[in-house]
Amino acid sequence: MIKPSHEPHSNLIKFTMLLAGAVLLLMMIIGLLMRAAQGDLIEIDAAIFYQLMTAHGAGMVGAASLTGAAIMWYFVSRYVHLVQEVFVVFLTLFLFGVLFILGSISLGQFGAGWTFLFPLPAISGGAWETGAAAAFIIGLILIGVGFLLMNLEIGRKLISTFDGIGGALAWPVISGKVAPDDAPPPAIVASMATIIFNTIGIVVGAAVLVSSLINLYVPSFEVDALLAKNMIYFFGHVFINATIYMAVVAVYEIIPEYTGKPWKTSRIFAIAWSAILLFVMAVYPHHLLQDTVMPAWALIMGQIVSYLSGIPLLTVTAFSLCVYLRGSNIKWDLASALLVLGVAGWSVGVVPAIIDGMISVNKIMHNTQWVPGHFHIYLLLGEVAMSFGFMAYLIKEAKSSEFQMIDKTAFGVYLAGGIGFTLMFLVSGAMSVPRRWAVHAEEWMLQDRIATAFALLVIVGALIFVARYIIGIATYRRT
Amino acid sequence: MIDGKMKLLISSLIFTFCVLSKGALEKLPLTHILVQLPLLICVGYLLVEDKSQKIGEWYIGGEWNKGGYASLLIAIFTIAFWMLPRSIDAAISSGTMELLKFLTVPLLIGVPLKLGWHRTHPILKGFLKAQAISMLGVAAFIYIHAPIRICNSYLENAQQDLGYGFLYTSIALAVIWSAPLFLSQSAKSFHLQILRG
Amino acid sequence: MSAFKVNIVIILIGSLILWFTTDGLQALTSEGARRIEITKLKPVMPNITLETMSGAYTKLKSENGYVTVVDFIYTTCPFICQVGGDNFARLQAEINESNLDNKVRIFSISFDPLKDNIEELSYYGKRHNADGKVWAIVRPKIEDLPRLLKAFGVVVIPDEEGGYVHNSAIHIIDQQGRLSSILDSNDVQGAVKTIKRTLQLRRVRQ
Repeated sequence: MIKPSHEPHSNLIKFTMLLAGAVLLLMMIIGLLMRAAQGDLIEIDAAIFYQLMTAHGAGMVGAASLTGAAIMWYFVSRYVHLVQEVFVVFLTLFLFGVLFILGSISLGQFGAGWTFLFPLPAISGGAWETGAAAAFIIGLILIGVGFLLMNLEIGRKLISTFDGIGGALAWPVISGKVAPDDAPPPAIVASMATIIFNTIGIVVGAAVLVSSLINLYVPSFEVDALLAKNMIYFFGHVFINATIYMAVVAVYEIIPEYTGKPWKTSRIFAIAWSAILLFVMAVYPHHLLQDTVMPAWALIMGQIVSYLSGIPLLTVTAFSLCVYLRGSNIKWDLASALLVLGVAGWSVGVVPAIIDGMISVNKIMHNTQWVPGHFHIYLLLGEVAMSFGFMAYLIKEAKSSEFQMIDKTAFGVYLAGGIGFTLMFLVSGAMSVPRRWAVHAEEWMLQDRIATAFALLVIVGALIFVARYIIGIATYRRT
Repeated sequence: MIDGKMKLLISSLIFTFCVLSKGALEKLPLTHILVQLPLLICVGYLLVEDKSQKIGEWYIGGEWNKGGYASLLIAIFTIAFWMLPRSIDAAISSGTMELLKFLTVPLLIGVPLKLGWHRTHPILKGFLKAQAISMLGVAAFIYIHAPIRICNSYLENAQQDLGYGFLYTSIALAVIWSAPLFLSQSAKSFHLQILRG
Repeated sequence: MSAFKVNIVIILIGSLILWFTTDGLQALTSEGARRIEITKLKPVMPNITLETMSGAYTKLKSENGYVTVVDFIYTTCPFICQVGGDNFARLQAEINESNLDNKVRIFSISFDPLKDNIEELSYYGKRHNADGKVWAIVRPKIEDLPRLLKAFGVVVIPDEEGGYVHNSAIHIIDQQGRLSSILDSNDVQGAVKTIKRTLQLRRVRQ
């Protein structure tokens, strides 16, 4: 059995999670404003709405990736010696990237959405200058460079410690050469797989980002719009998926501490993660099902892999968590409750994604609020729940491990708010309400207003989580 | 193992080949950029021995090149210079630039890479490799698709061939650099034994 | 010298070299460099004789103080010159709309005067609606061709299908017969703006 043998970089990670918690709250408030504006409860100029949407998208992807990275770094650093300075460099580059992005939106009025889809950043119709689009792209490049460095540090340590990529992915367990008892722990397998696809995603992302940047300043170096879209969605899909694959490491590592039962890398677990590694990269064409100029095989592959990629996730993480919890005597508190919620939300969020991944459905549904419905379940009730769970875990030593009343209330409020909020997106999507529209028709506004109320609940819950975290850190310092 | 003298011989043979095949290789941008220039880099790379005493301690392991940053920077700036389409155009149309190319590509790219690479931090190495793969992708993107002629000395379809050349080079480098990571590194696996305790 | 100082010096020297070789990050290609040099120097173009598609003769430099717009074509060109023809058709329309038709002339100059006889020239003109008044398709004398191409900085290479590859652009010659700017061949709006500015300059000076 491979056991944690190093002290994790607690203080650095606690600080990172504090930053991420603050960003999450701020972005939730921006989300609330957008829903309220769509419901005509407040008035926001359409140009400002798109700037807020760009900020919300980039900010939430950033916050999710930051929390995911912090979780992965924290737990991997319990098994191998990681150079702490690399994380500091990562965090610094990340924050500079955020500065550029915020500057491009607030000072430069950039509002082309976080996916910077060509040719919108280049042809703004006067809404923003070239410099603003360039600043946004440079910001993303800085964040990408930070991630690359962090992935390289973890990757090289895992490769040298666990006998190559194959060893870290537990291939010897698949082939039966090594017993699950001697296998690398689930956290290592998950981290290795994530690092591989995320690094490939970043390399492709960097290529399309730099091409877009060159195109902004030398327009005669044209970008092929379809190829650019493919590269952007490959990068974007891989990057946002990596956030939750990093965050799930917290489930693998923390839940066993609550049950006292080790979570081992079984053969099926190892196979599932190697499958995920391929599926995450092959599934991205399901974002391009409406692009009729795409080759048919790519779209069909997107649909098939969409179905397939649900299987390793649902069987391995969700199903094995259920089996694992049934036979154990888990102690419930905020951390364990949020982590289990995270896996549940993730699994549920996959269902609308698979539906949208069907070509026949996608033609009708993809530009409706069905899709934000899917990824808000996936993130709000999945990745973000896991991140708040990890934050609760980090301050566990400071307080009694009881599931206190205030925590129970906050959890309940967050859960109710999250379900109601995402349900409104799905309902609107089923009614063909378009997504990314600043102004809504009268008959769509009921769901917008209900969603606004639920968003408030989410924010109240999240506010309590973050406040408890801050108090927790403060008391922990003193003791 | 190939010893220092042998390397020097190979290096000068490649250089002679480059000079003699100048006309043939420079006829197409693909062979100019992706055959002649890499060969010239090899000329420089083979020119110096890591631990050779002939060049002197200062040059090989001196304080000035701590971490290999200085030599990498020299190489990167020189590469950037020769990546400019107008530099390549100039190397064809002007004899001075041609001479400059034959001197600077071995001496300011090949030699510094050799001097700096083994001193470079593994993370920086990984970063530069990822960067190289990515930027070859950018070059492929532009050269395949650009509706304008990037080099005045070459035809547009030859320019596209070069673009595909960049793409295949990028893929090849990705495979070459990542394949060894999948292999078992049994020499290091004693870590694993300790962890498994 | 410490490693840090060495690195700074290398970065400074390297950046300076790149800055100067790209004209301050303006021109990455020879074509870009040519355009920047021309806007600085405004060289006088050789005032050669041109034969128009109607068989008349004219000079490159206008005797009436017109601004002259020039591109280089060969009429049998399957790609770039046909697109250039469409661009020039738009330019001709813009000039007529802005009532500049008595201040501006447009020439599409063939660099293949041996194959491009009067018939070919007028066929190309008809296909793209060249009116012969504002816009004429013309050819130089064969002996004037080398110095004409050299003066404009146009490079023509024969391709594998019996055609040519050449840099395509919109060249603007001012009232004094000087090449004053070069634009991308699809930048019709930019060309109209530049023409107006060139006419303006003249008026201010008078």
